[in-house]
Amino acid sequence: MRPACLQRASPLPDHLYMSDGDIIVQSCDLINFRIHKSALSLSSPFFRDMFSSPQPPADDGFVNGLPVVRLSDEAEVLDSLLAMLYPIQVPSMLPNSYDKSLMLLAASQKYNMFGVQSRIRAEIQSRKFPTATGTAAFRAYAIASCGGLSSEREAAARLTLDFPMTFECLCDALPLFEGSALRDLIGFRKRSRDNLISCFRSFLDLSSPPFNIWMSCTDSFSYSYSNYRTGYSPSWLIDLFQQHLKSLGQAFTRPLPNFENIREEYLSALQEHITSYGRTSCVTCTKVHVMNGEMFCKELENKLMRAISEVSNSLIFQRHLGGLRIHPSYRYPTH
Amino acid sequence: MLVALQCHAKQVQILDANMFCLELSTMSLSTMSTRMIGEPLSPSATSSSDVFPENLLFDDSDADIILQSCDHHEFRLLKLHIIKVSPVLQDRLQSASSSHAKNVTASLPSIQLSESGATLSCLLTFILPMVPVIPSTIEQTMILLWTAQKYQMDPILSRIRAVLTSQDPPFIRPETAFQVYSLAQMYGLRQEVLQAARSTLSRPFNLEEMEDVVDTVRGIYLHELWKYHHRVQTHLATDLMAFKKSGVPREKLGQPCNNGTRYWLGNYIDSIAESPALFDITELQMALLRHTNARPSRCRCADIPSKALHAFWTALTDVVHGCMTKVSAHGLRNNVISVTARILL
Repeated sequence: MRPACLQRASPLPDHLYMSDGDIIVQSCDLINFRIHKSALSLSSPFFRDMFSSPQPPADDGFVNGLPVVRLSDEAEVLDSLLAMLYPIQVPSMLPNSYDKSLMLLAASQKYNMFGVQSRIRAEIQSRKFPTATGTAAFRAYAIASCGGLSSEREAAARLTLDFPMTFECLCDALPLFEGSALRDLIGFRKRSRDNLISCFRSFLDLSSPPFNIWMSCTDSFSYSYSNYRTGYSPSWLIDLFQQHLKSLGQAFTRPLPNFENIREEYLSALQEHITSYGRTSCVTCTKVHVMNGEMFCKELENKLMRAISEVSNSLIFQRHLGGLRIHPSYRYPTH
Repeated sequence: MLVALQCHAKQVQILDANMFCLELSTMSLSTMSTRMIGEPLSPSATSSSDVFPENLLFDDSDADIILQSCDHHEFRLLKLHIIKVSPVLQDRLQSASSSHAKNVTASLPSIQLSESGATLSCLLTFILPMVPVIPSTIEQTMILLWTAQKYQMDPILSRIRAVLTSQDPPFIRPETAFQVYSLAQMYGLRQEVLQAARSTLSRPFNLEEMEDVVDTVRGIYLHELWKYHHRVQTHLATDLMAFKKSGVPREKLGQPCNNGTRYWLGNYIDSIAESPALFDITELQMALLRHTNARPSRCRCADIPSKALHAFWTALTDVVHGCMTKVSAHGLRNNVISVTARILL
């Protein structure tokens, strides 16, 4: 049965068409790629096996006298995939978005094109993709999950934490989810939230290192959060952590706190503290920051990063060889 | 045999349904038909988890047709039973009969069907005068409905639906709604799609609270369901606003609060549009309780008679149900047709 696939709204410009090719590969949106059977066989055990076994005759099995292989992938994906079988010098075969690049990677996995897959992974790592939108992040997760791309799935799951997980945000990504992928992602988000809550709660115990460096702040005798405080601590820092704890109560309708933002948030809170209430400066905190601020920020970042990475490792899926980390420029735009 | 005699003596009512059906497996269809013709069907169906439908023998001694399941079960039946209920199988039987006339070696004309023996067994219990057997799982039940729909067995489809509706607990209920919805979409069962979609309205529809159900629904159908909920909310917002302004609340509940408004009721009505799961009389009573408890002095709302509250609830129910029906009627149809078309292809 022909897989359901939409007709292309517009023809694919300059798609791969080798004049001396001996086989037609047809995409699900009915674009014909004329290529060499040997190129497919060489790169893919899947196609090698297919060509070595006798094929049943089909009435519509030929185009211009050439045998046709009909695939369920879209033309855009096949164009990139098939071009990678040839030593063509082009800037990049990757689509211009991360989720579409994952589609390409999933296609290479499906057809066991391991060499091509390595090249795609390398290109993805070196490429700076535009900043993801929420829907694109969820789409990337769904594609990686459906395509059995375990490393990418884990990375994409982390990426989705930067966006609310609501139906409005998933929107067009929702139809791509199959099986238990969505349930796993909900569970992942809940575990991430719980770990972050534990982590931020531990920050409120400012009597132990590294938080005890702030104990001498002149504003440290605020007891507004006495439920959590076990030592003397500056309220500006407590406020920062409390805000995160509060926002974690809405972990599905808001993005989760990100460890890469904590430094900026800390600096902003400190700045406000030392210039607030008409004071020109809180000398104590300024000194502490100058002496130990960097170490303190790193400690915060590490603790938060560990809280999330522990959860990432508990995602249940079949692990495959090879790994990938999302390029930081994709997750966080460089200005 | 003792059980069969008891059946013959019209003592079916004192038999346990399971025992009765187990006995069916040892009786021939013709015997069964003779004994049961003219007797009313048992109002309650039994489940195939108790009966193992593939063990039900359909081996009529007067059979003139064989139905073969995909897992090699044979059902020897009277052609008449089948052609009366299914125009699709009637056509196939005619062509099977003509091929059989040319092939004298075959014992009876036969039709190979793509359904399993278990599904066909259950289906036949609805076609023949027997105690109907419902499959034990939701998925198998949906396949049974789909099979009846596929072979255009409209009266049989209605009977299966009637039995499912009369089950306790109902087949489509909030706990099963998501799975039924997804399967109904897959099999193109429009009635079940609409019922199940409506049933999901009684649960909160946000991902945080749906972890236990999302893996029973394919993403594409969840997307459709989300759009359905969205449409219901939009319609509810409009209709409930009109209801609030209509004067019905005042008419049913009497004069408003001491402060001249009944804001708690307005808030409650508004909340239904935001989350239809809050459409529940307990939620209304809770809202009233929260309001009266929050007032420093005794509020007139505390004296609303329960009869008046129920009259108001009935009026509100009419609005909400009317709205849901309106959305159902033009909401999910296109998608179901497309899914049906995909299956038929």
